[in-house]
Amino acid sequence: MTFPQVIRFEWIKFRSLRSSWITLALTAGLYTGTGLLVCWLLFDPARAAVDDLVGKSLSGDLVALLAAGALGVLTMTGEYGSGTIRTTLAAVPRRWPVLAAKVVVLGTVSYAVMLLATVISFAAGQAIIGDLGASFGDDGVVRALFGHAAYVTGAGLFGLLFGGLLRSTAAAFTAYFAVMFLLTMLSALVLPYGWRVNVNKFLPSAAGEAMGSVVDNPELLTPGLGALVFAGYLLLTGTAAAWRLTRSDAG
Amino acid sequence: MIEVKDLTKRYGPATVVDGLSFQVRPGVVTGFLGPNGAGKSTTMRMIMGLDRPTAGTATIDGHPYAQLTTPLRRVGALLEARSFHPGRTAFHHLLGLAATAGVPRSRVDDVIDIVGLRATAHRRAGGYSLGMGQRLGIATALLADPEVLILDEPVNGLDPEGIRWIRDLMRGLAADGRTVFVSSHLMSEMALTAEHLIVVSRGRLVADEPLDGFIARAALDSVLVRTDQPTRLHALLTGPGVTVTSVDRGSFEVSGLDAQQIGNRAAADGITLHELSTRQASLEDAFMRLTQERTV
Repeated sequence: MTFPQVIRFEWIKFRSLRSSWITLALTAGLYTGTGLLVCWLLFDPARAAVDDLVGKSLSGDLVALLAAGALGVLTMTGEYGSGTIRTTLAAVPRRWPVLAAKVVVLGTVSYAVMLLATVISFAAGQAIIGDLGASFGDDGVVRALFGHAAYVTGAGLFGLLFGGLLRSTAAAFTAYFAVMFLLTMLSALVLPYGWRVNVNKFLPSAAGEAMGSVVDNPELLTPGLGALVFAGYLLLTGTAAAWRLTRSDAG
Repeated sequence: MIEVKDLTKRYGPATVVDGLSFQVRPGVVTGFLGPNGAGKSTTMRMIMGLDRPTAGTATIDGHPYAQLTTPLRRVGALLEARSFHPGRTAFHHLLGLAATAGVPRSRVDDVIDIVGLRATAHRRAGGYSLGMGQRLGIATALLADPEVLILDEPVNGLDPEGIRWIRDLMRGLAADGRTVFVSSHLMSEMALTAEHLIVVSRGRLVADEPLDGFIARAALDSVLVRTDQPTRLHALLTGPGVTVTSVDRGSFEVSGLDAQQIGNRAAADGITLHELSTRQASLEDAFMRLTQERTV
């Protein structure tokens, strides 16, 4: 058995579930919808010179993250909940290729869809803003489009890996929510400001956000460093998930 | 051939499989018999590489399952309960698995026909009845035309027609020279399907022999005998190969001697018998007795 065969296996499994496409559409829809709403409601021509107009049209991350995480979690826990995991692991007894193939399939499909969502969101958002709006040729815009798509896609992969690590939908989604949303709130509660800024930069959500940022923001890492930190977290979670998958009983 | 050696599985303090060793040979249907909770499913999962043994090994033709390069081509399994996603159709469930073994799409259609799921193959499996789910499981096992079949309680949920169908199917597969290893908690079912039996109780091996031998050994008839001189009769009957069990004051259950032998001995010694009756043990009784004896 070759790795491409396992990818084909996972691709057939992914595309044959209606819920995959519904959740994916929901992720893209929430992303674009939020971006357009923000452009429509919060654009103030008087502040156009100082506001991050590119960022406004690409501000759907947080909302989209909920659906992206759910899709990621379910891609893994759906197998445990239904018992499909036994059939899957009997077909691929080395096991880790299953996890890797799921990452490849969800990563590729989600990145393609999210890239479309960021492009539409940007184009439509800037159209709402009108003459003052940015264009694709402006500095950092293309990188921002790729960066935001990578953030939402990567978050979905986080969900997938948490699903592999924890196996239960409720537990995995709770862990995902805690890491992506609660950590920032928690640090605001317990850390003094000076520390908080430096710690928050390195949290998964801030690192992810940094990937798509087009303005200098002292509260965020540079896009490149953000991508590196975010990938590091994914690698760490992935290693833990692969370890549990290969070491313990199929479930 | 499936080979299991000193296989043990513990969950915390509970030992579910306790030093099992046996071989399953090609060409015959081998029944894996034991009461619910005897460790049959756990043993099968360890053979399939799904559960990690605490100790011991399980191999398929000399290789651990995890080392098979294209496992579905070597081993087909019907695993307990539902092992498919309710939101996916039978067709896509099989098509996905086919991709891992290089099985062509036409074979997917073939196994759907073999198990009789043609009409519902493109509907989502969540709506399937227990019997249809079981048929999908069997289609999964047959998909890549494997040499070894491991079927966990395949008759569960099947109607009488389905049960007869799966019996014929298993015998046919064995007649092709395949290794067919099928579990059940029903002695009567195994008596109709299996030629060889591996019997377990509480994780331990109770018997590993041909069905005929097991029945001859297990289903010993017993004789109920009543007398007013129990002490003398007891002494008269005991001997090698004979088991005498007191039922109440003055009556015994005897196995190893038939009614005629008991009557003759009593007459020769002038003991009056008030009752002498043969009790035919059913297969289920015999199975229950054997599996309980070993575990006290």
